Amino acid sequence: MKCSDSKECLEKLYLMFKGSVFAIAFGITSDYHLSEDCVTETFVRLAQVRKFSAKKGDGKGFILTIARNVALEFRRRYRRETESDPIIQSYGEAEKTVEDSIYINQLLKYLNDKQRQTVVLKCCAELTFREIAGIMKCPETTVKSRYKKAISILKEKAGE
Amino acid sequence: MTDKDLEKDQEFEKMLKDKMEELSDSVDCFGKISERVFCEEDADYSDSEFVVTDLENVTGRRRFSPLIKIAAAGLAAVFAVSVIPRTAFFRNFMCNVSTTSNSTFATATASVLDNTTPDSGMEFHVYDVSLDEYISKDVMVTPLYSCPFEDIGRDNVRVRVFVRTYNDVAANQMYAVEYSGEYKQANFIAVADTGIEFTDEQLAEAYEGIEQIKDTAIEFDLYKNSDTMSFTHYSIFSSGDGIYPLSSSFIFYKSGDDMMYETFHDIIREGGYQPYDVSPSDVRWKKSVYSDGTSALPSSRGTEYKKVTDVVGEETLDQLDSFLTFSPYTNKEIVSEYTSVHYIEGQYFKFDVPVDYADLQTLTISLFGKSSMYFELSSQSDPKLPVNSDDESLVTEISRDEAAKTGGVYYVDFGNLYITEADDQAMKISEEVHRILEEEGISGAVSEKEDAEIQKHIQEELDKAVDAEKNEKKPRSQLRKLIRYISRMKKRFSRPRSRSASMMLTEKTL
Repeated sequence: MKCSDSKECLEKLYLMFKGSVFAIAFGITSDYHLSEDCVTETFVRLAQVRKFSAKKGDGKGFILTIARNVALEFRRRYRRETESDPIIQSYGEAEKTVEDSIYINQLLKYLNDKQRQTVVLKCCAELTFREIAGIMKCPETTVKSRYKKAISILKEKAGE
Repeated sequence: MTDKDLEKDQEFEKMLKDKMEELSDSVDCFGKISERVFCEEDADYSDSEFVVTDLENVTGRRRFSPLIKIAAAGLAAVFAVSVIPRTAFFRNFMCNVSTTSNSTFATATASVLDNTTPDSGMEFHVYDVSLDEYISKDVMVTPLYSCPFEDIGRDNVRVRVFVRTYNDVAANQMYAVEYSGEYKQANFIAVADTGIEFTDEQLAEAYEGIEQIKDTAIEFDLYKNSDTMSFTHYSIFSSGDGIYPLSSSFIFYKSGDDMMYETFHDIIREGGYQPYDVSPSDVRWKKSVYSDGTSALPSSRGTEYKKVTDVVGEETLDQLDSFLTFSPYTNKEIVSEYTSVHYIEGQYFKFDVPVDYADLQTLTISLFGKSSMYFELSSQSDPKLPVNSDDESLVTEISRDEAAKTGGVYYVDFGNLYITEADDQAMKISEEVHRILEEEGISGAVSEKEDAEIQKHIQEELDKAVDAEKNEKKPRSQLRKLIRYISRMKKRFSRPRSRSASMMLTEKTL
C-alpha cells in the first residue's frame, strides 16, 4: 500500500490508529498538544515509507513502534518546555479535554515510565502482551509482570 | 487473584480506555498530515530531521556506516584471539565449560530460576521443608507427587518446592530444588521438575471447572471405626490426554503403628463429572538431576504413610451417629508460611496436616465414638474440644458455637448430647427423621416425589420445634444442622457410584 499516493488510504489508516497512537503518545508525554503533534508526525513518517515489507513485522506493531519512538523523541526535545507545569501545558480549548488530561495524568503519575507505557499499550491500544513485548523490546513475561504491578498500584491509589 | 480481583481489573482497564478514547476523540490533525504529505510544492521535512536516504528509517534512529561496524568486528576478533586466551580467567573458564551431563543440570537450574522469578508473571505456592520430612511425609507436601529426591544421608538438607497456582488453585507444573545451607544457586544439590507447563489461557479455562468440581465432589471423611483425618486437594491437572480440574480426597487413619490412607479422584471433562484413576505415570517427576548430571530420583518411595484401597469397612456403616466431626481450618485465616509439615492433636488423636493452606481449609477430623464425652454436659454450655498444633498460628481448640459461627462442619450425636427438655424434643425429632429416612431409603433411587415428601415432613417437624416451650432457638438451630446433615448424606449416597462405601450403605439402609 503506497500511502503517499493515496490520501484516502492514509486517512483510513489514520482513522484506524489515531486513538492508539494518541494513547501511546499521551502515555509517554503526558501532554495533550504534544501528543497531538506526535500523531501528526507518526502518520507523516508512515507516509514516507516507500514500501512496507513483512520483515518489518506486522503493520499494527510497526505503526505503534513509530508512534512510541516519535513520542520519546518529542519528549526529549520538548522536555524543558513541559517540565515547568505539565498540567497547564495540557490545557486545550475544551474543558472536557482539560478534565480528561488531568484525570489520566493524575491516575498514571504513580507509575514509572515503563509501567505507564505498558498500561497504555494494554488498556488503550488494546495490544496483547506479546505485541507489547515486541514494541518495547522486552520479554513477554516482563511485560506481564510490569502490567500486573502497575494495575495493583493504580487500584491501590484509586482506592485511597 | 480471585474472580473479584479480575473483575475489578477489567473495570479499571475499561475506565482508563474510555477516558483515553474521550481524549483522543477531540484530536483532529489529518488536515495537517495531508498538508505535509501531499503538498505539491517543496515538502519541508526539516522538522523531522529526515533526509532522502533516511526515508525508510522511520524510527528515526541513526545508522552507522557499515564500514565502521566491520572494522569494530575485526578489532574485537583480534582481541579475542590474541589477548583473552592468555588470561587466567579464560583458562579457568575453559576448565569449567559445560560437559553434556553438566548442561542438563544447568538447563534445569536455569528453567527453575527463570520460571520462579517474580518477573516471570507466574504465581507459585512455595514450600520449604527438610528433605527427610518431604520423603517421609510426601502426601502432606505435594499430595499427588512423591519426593523427587533420594535420601543422601546428609544433615541440614532442605527442599524448596514451587507449585504453580492460578487463583490459589494448584497446578501440576512444579519445580523442586534440593539445597544445603542458604538457598542460593551455589548451594543447589539437585533440581527437579514435572516437565509440565501451562499457559495462562489453559489455566483460566481449566479453572472454570474448579468451582463446579468443588460443588459436586464428594469429600470422604467419615468412614472406618477409627479416628480419621481427611482433606481434599483441588488442582488443575495435566495428564496424558488433557488438562482437567481434579479433585483428590485423602483419608488417613491409624492402624496399629501405621498410618494408612486412601485416595479418591474425580475430574470434569467431556461427559461431565466422573471418577478418575490417577496412574503412576501421571504423577511422575520428569526430571531430577544432581549437579553432575546423574539422576537424583529415588529408587523407591520412602513415605511413612501406607496407601490402601479399602479404607471403608462394613462395620462402619451403622456407626455413623457415633462420630464427632469437625473442620478446624475452614474459613480460618491461616498464616502458615509453608515451612514444614505440622500436626494437629487432641486427647485421642494426632495427625500430620498438609502444608498448603488451601488443602488445610478442607481438612476434617472425625473421631469415632467420642461424642459420649459430652454426655454429662448441658446443651447450655459450649463444650470445647482441646486441639493443639505445633504451629501456634493454627487452631487450638474447637467449640460447638465457634464451629457454627465460622461455618465449620460440626456434626454431633444428637441422641446423646442434649439433656434439657428442648433437647429431648430435638432427640425425638431426630429419631423420627431417621425413621423416615430409613423407610424411604437413602439410595440412588430416591425419586423427586419421595424427596419432596421427606422434605415436607422435615419442615413440619421443624415448624413444631419452633413452637417448643423452652430454648426455641436451640432446637431450631439443631434441626437446621440435622437437615444439613441429612442433605449431605443424601447427596453423598444418592449419586450412583461404584465405590464400596455407597453400595454397602445402600444395602444396609434398604
